[in-house]
Amino acid sequence: MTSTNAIQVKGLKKNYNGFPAVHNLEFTVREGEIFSLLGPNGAGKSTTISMLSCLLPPSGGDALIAGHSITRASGSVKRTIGVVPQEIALYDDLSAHQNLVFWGRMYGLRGSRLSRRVDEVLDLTGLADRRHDRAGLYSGGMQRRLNIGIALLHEPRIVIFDEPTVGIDPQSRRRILDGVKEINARGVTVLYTTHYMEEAQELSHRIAIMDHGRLIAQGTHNELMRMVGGLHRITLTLSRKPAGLLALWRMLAGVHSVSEEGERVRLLVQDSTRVLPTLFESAAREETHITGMDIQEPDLEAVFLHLTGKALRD
Amino acid sequence: MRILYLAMKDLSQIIRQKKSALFLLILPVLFTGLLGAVFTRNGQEDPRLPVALAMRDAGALGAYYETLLGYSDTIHPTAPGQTDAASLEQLVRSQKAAAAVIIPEGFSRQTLAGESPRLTVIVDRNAPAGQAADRAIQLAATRLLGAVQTARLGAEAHGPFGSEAARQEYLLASLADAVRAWRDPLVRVTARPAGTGNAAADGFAQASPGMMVFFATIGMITPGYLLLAERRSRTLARMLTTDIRRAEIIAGHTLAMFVAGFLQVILLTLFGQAAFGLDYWRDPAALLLMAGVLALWSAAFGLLIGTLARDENQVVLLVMGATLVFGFVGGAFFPLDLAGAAYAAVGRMMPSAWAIRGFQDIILRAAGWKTVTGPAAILVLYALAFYALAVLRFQSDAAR
Repeated sequence: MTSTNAIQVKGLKKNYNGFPAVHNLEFTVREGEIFSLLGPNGAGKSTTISMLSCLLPPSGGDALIAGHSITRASGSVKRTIGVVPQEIALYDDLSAHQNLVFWGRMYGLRGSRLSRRVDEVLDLTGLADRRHDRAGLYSGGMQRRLNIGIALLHEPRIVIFDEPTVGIDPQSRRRILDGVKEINARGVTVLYTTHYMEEAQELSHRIAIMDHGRLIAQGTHNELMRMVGGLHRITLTLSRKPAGLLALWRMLAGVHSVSEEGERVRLLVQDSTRVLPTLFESAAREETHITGMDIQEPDLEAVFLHLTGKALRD
Repeated sequence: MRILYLAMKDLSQIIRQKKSALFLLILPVLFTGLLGAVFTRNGQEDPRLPVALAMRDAGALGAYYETLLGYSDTIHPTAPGQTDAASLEQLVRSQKAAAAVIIPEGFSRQTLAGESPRLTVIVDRNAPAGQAADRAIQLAATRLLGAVQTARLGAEAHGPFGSEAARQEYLLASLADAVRAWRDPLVRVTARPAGTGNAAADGFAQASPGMMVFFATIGMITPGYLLLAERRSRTLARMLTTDIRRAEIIAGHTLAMFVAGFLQVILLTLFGQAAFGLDYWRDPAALLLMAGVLALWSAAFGLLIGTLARDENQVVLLVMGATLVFGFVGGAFFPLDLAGAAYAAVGRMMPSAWAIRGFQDIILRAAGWKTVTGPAAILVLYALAFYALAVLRFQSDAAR
């Protein structure tokens, strides 16, 4: 990882019918790092990726990708990046080999370089043995791998992943996450979007958290953790939720935030050991039973809860 | 180069689809055979227009007039069930007869006496068939009068007869000779199809180009579906993340559809030539020009369908709906001239009508490439209009 910027986003905006989907985004991705955009569905991650991939024109601002402006030099930007879309964007009726040859040609590869890269990507994705099978006959995980492999054909300096693990089994997810690390280990800069906190936490050198089209925090995992200090996240399941009880808990010393999520209540607290007895006592006074409890060390979920007052999955 | 690679990929996908062979080749061949056979069987009965003849004259001239009508290349006399004027008018109105002729009582006597008896002709002069029948009826009447005049002159040249009966006998014999002479006139103008000259091929001269044009647009179901699938599977969006330009993507898809359509037309014309004796390849330049513009129009149509449809059902619905309108209104299933002037006028607004016209010019009228530039130019204009709409739709869709 170097200190040179691979991606520099400057005041990027996107409005749909006057509604700001992405608002004044500012962040940088350093060359060689994995940078994650973390946020719930609808936070504006995919819109941001679409603008950085030159699929959508921004309503304002600009971004430099390897020094090329997305608004003024989209051709240069496209030659620099590889994009892994959220959807499986393959030709089902073509084989893996035919898909790779076609997409390689679309990326401008020809002749021996094309053949070499197709073979390398087939090996990398573990599809060499089934190269001549129709992509439509592959399992979901194999299709995902091919989907990623296509974006690597032209050996891009920067690869953008748009939620590549949505809707797949844990085993395939594991392979994809390992694949992302392997790609990065070869010196490729990765911009990764996800709404899974664990993925961002595991993969990223740095993370930016988005909500409602805005960047609400960014930094390394440790830097983000420092925002919530030693806050623990307590999740309680209650037999009932009297409004007075939650209001009381919000006023307790050591309680930073209280949010409801279905049957459960989430609290961010300074010291769970000291706060818990008070919580049990007040619940008993309101004739409410605590039927389940989960205490977690500070994590990105806690950061999101701390910054937005709601859970990441809301 | 990327345009070519994209077109090759599309063609490879088109070939893999089983329904491609069905829509591009198998069904057009089957329908051409079927419709051609139907047209030909109808044609073998008597290709001339039927004219209902109500004979109220008992003399020789009425019979001779019927004979002269029968000599016509255009019409043939038929005996109607009802011979009153109202029934005859109904026959013409219902297009069961192209015209009706009433030969009045005393027609022979009055004509031979030098009077001018009136034939009653019931005809719709606004219909092309009516106009043709009317001309043939007038021509037969003129020939009859000419024959009468010839017989009279012959009798005068003969000099005095022994009796009036002898003169009448001579006159009628001369008249019979004069009428018979029209059976095989010295000078005869015959309108024949310039292409095949083969009566059995006439039905196929309608069915072959008709079905070729009809299935040129139906054949776009598969390419249209592939384009839709590309939009829906986000492969189009992925393509736009490479540095290929949108114009190149459109050109690549259009090229594939054009090649598919062009090959379809070439194969179907070769089939028409080999199986039905239709002389499509008399002037290869004319045929290639028409095949090219038909493929261009169908490609533009396919591109428009691929950009308009939101799902597979819509592809089929839009293609079939538009094709049925182009086919039935544009004269793919029957000659527009048989459908009346108003229908034909509307039909000629269809691009399909001009495509059929161009191919029929080649096989029926031995047209060269210069002659078919008219229909070709009109098809190109339609292709450009469809293409412009498709590009607008593609640009707005790709931007989303």
